[in-house]
Amino acid sequence: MVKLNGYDISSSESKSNVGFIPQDDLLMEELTVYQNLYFNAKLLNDTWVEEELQERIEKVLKELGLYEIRDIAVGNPLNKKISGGQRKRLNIALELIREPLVLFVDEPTSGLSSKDSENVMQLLKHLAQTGKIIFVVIHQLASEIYKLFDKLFILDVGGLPVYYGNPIEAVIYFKTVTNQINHEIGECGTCGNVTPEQIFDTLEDKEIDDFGNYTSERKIKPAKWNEYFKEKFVSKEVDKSIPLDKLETIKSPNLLKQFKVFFTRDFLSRWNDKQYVLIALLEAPVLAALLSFIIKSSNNIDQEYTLSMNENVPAYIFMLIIVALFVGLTISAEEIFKDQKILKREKFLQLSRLSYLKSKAIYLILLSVLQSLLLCGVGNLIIELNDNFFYYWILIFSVFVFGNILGLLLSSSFKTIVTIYIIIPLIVIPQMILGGAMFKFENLNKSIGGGHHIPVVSNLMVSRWAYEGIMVAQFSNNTYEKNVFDYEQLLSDYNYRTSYLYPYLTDLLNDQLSDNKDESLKCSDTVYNTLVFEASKPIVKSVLKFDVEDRSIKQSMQFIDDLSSLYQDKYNELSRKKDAKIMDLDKSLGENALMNLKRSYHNDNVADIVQNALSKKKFFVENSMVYQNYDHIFLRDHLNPDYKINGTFMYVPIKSFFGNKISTFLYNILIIWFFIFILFIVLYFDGLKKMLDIQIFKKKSFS
Amino acid sequence: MKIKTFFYYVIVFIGVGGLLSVVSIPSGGSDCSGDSEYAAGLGKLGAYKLIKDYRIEQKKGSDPQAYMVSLKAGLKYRFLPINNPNNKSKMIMSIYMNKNKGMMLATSYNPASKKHYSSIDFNCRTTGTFYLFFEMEGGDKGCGVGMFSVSN
Amino acid sequence: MNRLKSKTLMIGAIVVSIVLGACSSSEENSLEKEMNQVSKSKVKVSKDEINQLIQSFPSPIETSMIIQNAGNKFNSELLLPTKKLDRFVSSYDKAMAMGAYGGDMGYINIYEKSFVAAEFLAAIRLLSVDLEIDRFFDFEDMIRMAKSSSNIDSLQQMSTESFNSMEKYLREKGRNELSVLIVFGTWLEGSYIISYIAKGNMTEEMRNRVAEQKESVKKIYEILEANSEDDYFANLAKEIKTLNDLYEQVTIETIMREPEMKEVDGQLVFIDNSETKIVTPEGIVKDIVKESISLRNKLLK
Repeated sequence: MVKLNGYDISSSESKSNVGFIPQDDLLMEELTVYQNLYFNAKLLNDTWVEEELQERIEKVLKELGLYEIRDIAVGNPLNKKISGGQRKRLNIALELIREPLVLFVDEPTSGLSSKDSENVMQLLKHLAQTGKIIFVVIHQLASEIYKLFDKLFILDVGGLPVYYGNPIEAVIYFKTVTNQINHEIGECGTCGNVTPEQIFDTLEDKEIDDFGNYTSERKIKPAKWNEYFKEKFVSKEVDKSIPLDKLETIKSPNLLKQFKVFFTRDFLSRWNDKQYVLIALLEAPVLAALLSFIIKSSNNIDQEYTLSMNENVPAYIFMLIIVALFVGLTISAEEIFKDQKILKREKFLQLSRLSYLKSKAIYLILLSVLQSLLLCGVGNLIIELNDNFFYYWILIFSVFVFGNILGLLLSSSFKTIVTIYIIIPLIVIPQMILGGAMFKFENLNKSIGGGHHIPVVSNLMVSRWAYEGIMVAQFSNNTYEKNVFDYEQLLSDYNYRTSYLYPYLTDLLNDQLSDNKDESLKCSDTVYNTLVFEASKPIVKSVLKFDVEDRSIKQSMQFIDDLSSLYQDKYNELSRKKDAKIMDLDKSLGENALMNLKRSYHNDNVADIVQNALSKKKFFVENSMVYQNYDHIFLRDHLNPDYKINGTFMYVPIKSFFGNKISTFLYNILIIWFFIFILFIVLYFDGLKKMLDIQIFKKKSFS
Repeated sequence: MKIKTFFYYVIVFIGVGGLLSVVSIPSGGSDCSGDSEYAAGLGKLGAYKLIKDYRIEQKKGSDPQAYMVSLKAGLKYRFLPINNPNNKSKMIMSIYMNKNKGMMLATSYNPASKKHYSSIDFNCRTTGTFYLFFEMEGGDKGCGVGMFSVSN
Repeated sequence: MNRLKSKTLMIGAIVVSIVLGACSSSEENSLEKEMNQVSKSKVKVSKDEINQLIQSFPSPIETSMIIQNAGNKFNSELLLPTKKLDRFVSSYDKAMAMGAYGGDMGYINIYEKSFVAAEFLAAIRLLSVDLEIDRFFDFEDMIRMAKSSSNIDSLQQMSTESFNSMEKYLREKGRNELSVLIVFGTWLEGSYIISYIAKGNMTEEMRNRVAEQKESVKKIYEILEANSEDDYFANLAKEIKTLNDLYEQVTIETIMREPEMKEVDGQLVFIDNSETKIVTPEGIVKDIVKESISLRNKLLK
């Protein structure tokens, strides 16, 4: 059991007083020396006020000779702004601010010139003299550095201790054990140089074979050295009479403060990278401009451009979504990955992962707000899509955020950046294929769910929800359509019945009759079920009665006749009403105003798609019931609990949300944010990483 | 095993084939939709262009059906009365000057020779509105399709 | 802590307002409530006679044939422009336009100018979709046929059949007004074509052709008057009145004679021996021609 001043080493008091300086430097490249220290310090301790903090930083800077370069950006090993020695010293400074009692230093001199190495080691020695214990792991030892140490602890292969004691005496010990010449001489008498290599040579001395060649077998095995060690070195009892200082636990700042620090740090580090700022802000509007400019073309070449005749609008909408997803993913893919080293260090500080993630998320969300505004704004402006901006923006923004959080998840789960970038197409391409825009669901492979309903796997694609949301909003909410939507909706209901449904049911009944002329026979299930549903509609209930017990063909035919007349009359009546409304509008808005309204705000291709106008099949039969296969944008039958259906339709205007009826636009936004929420939870619990690790673990255990 | 599957497939094939053939045979008997007569009539038009077709169904003893038509001077018209194969008596198609018959301009039945013609041509010299009459010989019941076409 | 609270409140407020805003779309809109009520007045059913009248108008084929017979060449300039179809705003406008384009189709078909047909078919298709009667047309087939001149006969027949079934459907479904307007449109375009050609080439033949329209104009006027409870029809009747009044001055005398019956190659042929005398006062035909042209351009162009 290891204790520090009486406290168990795993206790928070101990942890607060132990520092670790790793071999790699864990610095924020875009920030200055001062900023690196500043943010690190802010995360460390809650009790320091601003002035005290600045004092401490200045003190450390001066101590380590970094004061002059405090405002220079750190840079990275490839693009150095400060020298290697200075980087190392900064790493040390980051820990020193805390003034830990015990310091573990890993390879402080690797990669440094001999002068720099000496400086660093002198510094550490100086620190040790102030009362700290400093553990250093070190390999290439110059003689001067070797002599600075107080104690040397050597571990052989397998972690077996083979020496603990004075460094210079170590040479003598090893020579003695192996009966070498001059074993009483530790250091060179005249020059004072110690050659630590002698220790390793002795330790690993190999057997000589009969021919005088070295073999690969060692003369003395590690276990044997370990035996000698155990014999020679006896651990001294700790003198219990010495009073031990109490250890203080460092109090980390609260979640909000942590969040602020993470956020400011990230923001500043980004802001200083001008290239990044430029690209991050320009990427979206440039793509939007490119996209919308290229597809800005109207159906009739000799006519001027109108939105209504631009056949590319549905594709444009889908491209906006894919761009949002792609940009969202790539912008966030490196975020956590970049911080890997820093996160390692900060693990010691027991900072809140939630605050860290939230700061990343908020930063990305704010960036997404900007990017989505630019994307939709520029794009819609160029192709002259001048209303419904809010709907476009909110959905595209949601897709951006989805991409961001997913990118963060990837960033924190994979070991190399290349893997992350390879995974990204694997995410985006299925979204394109299954989003419902490039390939109609009717035309997809039946085994994955293609057919009249939306495949389950498509419901997992954020692109499908965003696309549907925008298409529905674009069609039903544009300035022109708003005037006539209600009329068109009802007319569609009536026309479907009189033109398609009832003639079909009549055909079915006639087919039944052609074999057997008996009209008292029971009608088929399909006819019966459909008629029962038809009878339940409010418009019918008040006028016609359908006896559910009577399944005779006779009643069915009569009922269908009555229904046809009813709906036909309603259709004619409403048709006249709609015409009257249109002519009214035409008069009140002025010459050609209505026509211009339609041209500027309505798009024929969007209308064709949400109405499934190009499909030849106007209905389909499933589970002994007839279902409408077009004009789903006007459909509300699916809200009726009696309308039993094995799936969902695309482009319906209203959906049921736990019993409440809300618009498709709102419903889809809630779904997308629900996905985002789930992803964030997985991110918080490192779910993906753990899953990947388990896979690897399983593999290993069987091999 | 292979022979069993072979026979299985043969039976299925026959079954499906039989079903298809049953379904595709028009439910004959008293079908007065006129579709087959229509198709037959189209074949007899030659260079004449179809203007309109009339689906006629007459019950026993009912009055002839009359339809208003517009004819133009200088054009040649061809009228085709096409009988349903199940008709006992033949359909007569005629053109009269007005609703109450009056002067007859053309007819598909020559009472003198008792001959029914399956198509009659009318070279029009007066532009105006006339009446097309459809009746079954002897007031019998029957159905068919009447076609009215034009050529210049 | 305060900042966090205010932030959450703000987000909450935005969410609530979105939800509220979207919730205004309830399932049953007020229009639907209105329609769900039992209709107080039954829709007016057209008289049988009027139905008969509508069905008895000359087809565009006949109109085009007599023009061709009179030795006139095909003139694409007289056709109705197919661009800017959205100038036809209400379904009445659309029905009338559809009839007019049908008239143009007849002209194109008789002169066998199939390469022009495609754009007219496209126009008819768009209008028929809006009127929800597009299923009577197999547009894909027809446009395909239009591309090859050898199929002009089939195309022409198909057009005729489609218009016929559509007209029957409209009648059966009680959408008589549309039927009337389609016929009106076809007639209007036909009379325009005749007038346009007559204007450029006033032969005796063309003069007579213009004059013999008298009966059709009268029929049209009667039908429009019969429907004049509706403002739209009342307006049309008013427009037609001028033309009708002009035609009142034209006298047409028909002497009906028994036809000659011949049998030629097994085919029974009746030769009409009747005679028509048309009397037109000086300048009347010119006025009629002018009025027909301006009327059609006012209503359709």
